[in-house]
Amino acid sequence: MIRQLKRAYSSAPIATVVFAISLTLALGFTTRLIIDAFDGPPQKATQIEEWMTPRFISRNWKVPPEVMREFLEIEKRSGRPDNLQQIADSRGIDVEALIQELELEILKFLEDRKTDRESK
Amino acid sequence: MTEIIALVTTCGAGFLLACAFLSCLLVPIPTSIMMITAGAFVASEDLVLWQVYGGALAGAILGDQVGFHIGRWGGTQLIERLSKSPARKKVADRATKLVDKHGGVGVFFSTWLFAPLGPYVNFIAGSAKLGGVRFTIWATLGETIWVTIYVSFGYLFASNLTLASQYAGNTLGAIAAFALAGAMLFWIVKSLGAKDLNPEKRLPEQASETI
Repeated sequence: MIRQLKRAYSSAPIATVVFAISLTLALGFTTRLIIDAFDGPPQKATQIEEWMTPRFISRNWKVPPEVMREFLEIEKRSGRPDNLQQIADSRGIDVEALIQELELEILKFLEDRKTDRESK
Repeated sequence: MTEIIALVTTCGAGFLLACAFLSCLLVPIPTSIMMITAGAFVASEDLVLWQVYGGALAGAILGDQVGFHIGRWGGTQLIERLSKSPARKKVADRATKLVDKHGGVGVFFSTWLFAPLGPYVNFIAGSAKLGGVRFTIWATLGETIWVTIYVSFGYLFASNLTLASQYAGNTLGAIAAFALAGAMLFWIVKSLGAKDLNPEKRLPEQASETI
């Protein structure tokens, strides 16, 4: 192995050095990907942000869309969705206040659902 | 950043098209993050897949074409001016031959694997008179891979866009590093083969083995 490396280095020194570096990097990236894969599915973002849409939050926080619409007091509609910033602006309220209220509602809903399941 | 991300839903596929187009012309826009975000919004059914995919792809292909034609128009004149000196003409001729020989593959990899180099490679390809059809085929293939990777990662890991971006980065990093290692291995093997054929260039230990 070392002899072959020496032979490669004497024949093409730049290529051998770049080969060694790129192979190390490739193994590093691959190891990282494997570790991430074994860590399981990616955890969801822990905070709700102003650019998120009701359907996006509904999907990622596993809250049914109709419940989310009820929380935000919005109607079901087709077409381009409003995000939380736009919803807050249309009501003339602060988006942070809307997010805080929504987080509390979601937390309460998830806890109620958990209690319901345990009681069954 | 959140303001830009918010534009993905408010403006939809047209915004993605503009981002991809401008990023191919050296405007510093985080198009890969935009595509990941758009993929996540496709997963939540806020955006439509074909519109996101088509918008990003069309923008990238158009941007490549504009960069290539700027190079063909402005770059050719620049090269002609530089070629007035015989020494520079020699270098310019070599560069043109190199682009003619490997330009297609270079364009292909610069559109997705080494995306930051893309705008420069497009300009150089145009300046060095790479065939328009060849450029279009390779650039379209590369952009298809670029858009597919980022939109897919956004769709698959919609619950955490930071992680989606990290996964996409690690995947592309691994592909790039393996591709470079493969190319270097090819160079080493070719170089060793040439030495074996030429006894004068062989190592002393190899020479003694044959004696």
